[in-house]
Amino acid sequence: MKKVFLLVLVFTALVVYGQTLVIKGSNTVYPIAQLWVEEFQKMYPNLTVTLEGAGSTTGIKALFNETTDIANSSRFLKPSEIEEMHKAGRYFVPILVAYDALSVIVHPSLPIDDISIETLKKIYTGEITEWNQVDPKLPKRTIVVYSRNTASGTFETWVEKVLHGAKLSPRVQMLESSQAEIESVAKNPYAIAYTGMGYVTDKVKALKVNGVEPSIQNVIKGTYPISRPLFVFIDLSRFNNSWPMEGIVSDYLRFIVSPKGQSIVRQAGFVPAYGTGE
Amino acid sequence: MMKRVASFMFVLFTSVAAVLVAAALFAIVFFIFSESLRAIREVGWGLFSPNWYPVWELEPEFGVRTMLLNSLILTVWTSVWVWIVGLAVALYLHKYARDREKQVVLRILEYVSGVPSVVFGLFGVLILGDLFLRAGAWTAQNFLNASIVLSILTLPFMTSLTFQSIEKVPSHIVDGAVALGAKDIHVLLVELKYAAPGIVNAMLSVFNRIFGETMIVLMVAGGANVLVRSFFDPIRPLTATLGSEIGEVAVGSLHYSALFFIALLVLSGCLILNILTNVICRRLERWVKG
Repeated sequence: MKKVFLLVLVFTALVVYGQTLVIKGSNTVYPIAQLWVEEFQKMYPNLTVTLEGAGSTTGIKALFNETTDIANSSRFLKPSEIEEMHKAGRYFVPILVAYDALSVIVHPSLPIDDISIETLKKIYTGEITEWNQVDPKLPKRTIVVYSRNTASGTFETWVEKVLHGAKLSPRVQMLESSQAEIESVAKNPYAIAYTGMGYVTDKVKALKVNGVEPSIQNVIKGTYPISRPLFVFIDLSRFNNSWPMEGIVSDYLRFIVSPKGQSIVRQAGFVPAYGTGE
Repeated sequence: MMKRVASFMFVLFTSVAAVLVAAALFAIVFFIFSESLRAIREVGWGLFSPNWYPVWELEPEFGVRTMLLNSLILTVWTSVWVWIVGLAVALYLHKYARDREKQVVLRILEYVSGVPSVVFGLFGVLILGDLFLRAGAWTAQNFLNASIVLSILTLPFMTSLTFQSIEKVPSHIVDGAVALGAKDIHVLLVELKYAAPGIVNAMLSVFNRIFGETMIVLMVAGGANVLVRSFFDPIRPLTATLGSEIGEVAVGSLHYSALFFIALLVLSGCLILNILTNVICRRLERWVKG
């Protein structure tokens, strides 16, 4: 009798307190997910959440191994992953949660408003080193080129969308944070840098890229060239191949696309994919 | 009885602590070496090529040569200045400063040496960086900026260590020199000779400190992987790369292993220097006494 009682106790304890949610994947999405989890745990105080940000590939691998409930990813599935998924009889679905869109910033006093992707590529690969090579009207001064360090997801987007995989010139100065980029560009009239759209302040000037202004509308419309979607993946085969309508995973997904969740996306410096209710 | 137990416990405690510390050191060296093995095996001499492109999927490059040279140039240049200025300040304090002056300066040095390096880094970014731009440098974070901030960090260290070892010279040595009719400058030389082991120890510690300093170079050196050609070139020393990238790299990847190779380089640099310090100091002590 005692044993049964104990067992029941342990079981209820598990149900009430033992609810866990495991999230793994992209380190680009990580700062957003951190804020999401923080807010989500206020709504579910008994929930234990583990969050890891080791990279998109790691997250999707973890979905295969069933070691995570949710995989954050800064890219869509690779063809090889889709094939593997089909072979295993699994079904991973993407939920679009945000856009990682980058602004190109310069000092407000520099007489330039528009820049093309090709020019940016030339600047960052070191083919062009002075401003008057960009536009003869600009001063003949060395371009001070700043980039985020290689560890950041922002940097990955830049290499993919602007450099098309080409190598950065070694003269490019790597900075540790978006804040440092804004500060450095605000002080140096001949500097150029890129940063997540949400970080731009009025101390710097955001350039149009290929004639398109960096704005949330243009990112969602798909006309702004330096942006990429960010996803959250779940494995539907764990929910009998149908959309989970209840349970913690479902609640979490609902939360992150809700106006509250989306305003958190904005707060983290990214472009929300849906309305923020503002 | 109690007394014996207590003393036994004390011996046990201290010896276990000593063994643990030694074991930890060996474990760290072994860990760093074993993690960098993959890079050594797969990249080989490529590790000493000039370019560092760790995260490019096509042809990644893991060359540390530029960073290593920049590290060495920055360390040697800064150390030489710190040595000269530190020695001068220590001599002034010892020889010419009044007691009150001495106390004030030593107190200030003490406070400065307690400031964390990140604060100095901030100073370099916000204040020195601004001055550099106003003076016409093309970028705020550069070799000279890093060098200045590093000297501010290590000068107090150099000065107080040197000062202490000069002060420790026994008075009978000085008196003896004076009694033999030595002039001021010769007395000073005698004192310097006597204090030499301490001074050399201070010099090499400063060198070591600058070589291994991470936060400051990360913040103010500029982060560009070009070999320094002028004072205003931005550079990226070894430690800056390590500090910047180790936090986000995928564990077990080639990039991870290459970063551990950098750690191995820095560690062995510091170890070799430490051993060298010991050897030189012992020689000098013998020379002084002999």
